[in-house]
Amino acid sequence: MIDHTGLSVTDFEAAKKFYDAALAPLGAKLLMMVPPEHTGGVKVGGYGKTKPDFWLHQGQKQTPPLHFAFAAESRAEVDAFYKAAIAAGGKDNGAPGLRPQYHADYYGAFVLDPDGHNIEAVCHKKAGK
Amino acid sequence: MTRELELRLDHVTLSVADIDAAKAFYVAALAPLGLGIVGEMSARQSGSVAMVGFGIGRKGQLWLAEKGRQHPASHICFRVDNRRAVRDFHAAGLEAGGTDNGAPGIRAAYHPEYYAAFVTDPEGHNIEALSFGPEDGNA
Repeated sequence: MIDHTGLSVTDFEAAKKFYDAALAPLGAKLLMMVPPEHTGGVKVGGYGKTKPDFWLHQGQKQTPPLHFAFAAESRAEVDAFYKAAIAAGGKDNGAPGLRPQYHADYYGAFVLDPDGHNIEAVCHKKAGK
Repeated sequence: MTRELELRLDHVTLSVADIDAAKAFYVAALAPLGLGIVGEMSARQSGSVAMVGFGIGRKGQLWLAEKGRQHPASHICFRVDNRRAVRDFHAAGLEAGGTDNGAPGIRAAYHPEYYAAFVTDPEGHNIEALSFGPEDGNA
């Protein structure tokens, strides 16, 4: 399984505002900032539930844009992710709903983050589970 | 319902310039971690670019899309349950065209049991295997 990964962001505060909102419905938050003396002053922060799994670091825009899909535990979490991400300035890239072309119970939503990366929340469970 | 303890990346898609070369690397490097190809599409089949997905069972965890060389490159870490798999990943990755970016060993600065190895793939992505587990196990 993927333990952790990350993203280079051009505006850390803008990214933080977006990910604070988008990941909260999935139970995650910014858990730690790496002390600037360890990063040469670059802002580096890790999101997660109990440990940092998704890292943001101030830097160049990554191109072509990346795609990250976070596992949601219910369809309601996917809906909440989408709503919160849009409210925080994310751009719609696919409303919450089934994507049967992937599999019958693939329920996902897609939002572009401030740098244009395609961020998804997905639940693979059957309705109501 | 049991709540998951971790924010889990369901899947991630990276860009590569040469999907055939990247595929050869990942097939070799990820096999010791238990991941294999779960899906593959030509540009014609996907309607956009060629893609290949690696995962366990039928579920893709890492997808490569032939959209061009990504800059800056990405970092992805895969966790396994034993140290042997970490070493096998490193050896297989180097053999398959990767570049050493950190030999297998404890990274005590992160955690006393953080046993990891790092290989740079042919496209510059920094791929890591990590274990908090024992020497051997069921990778």
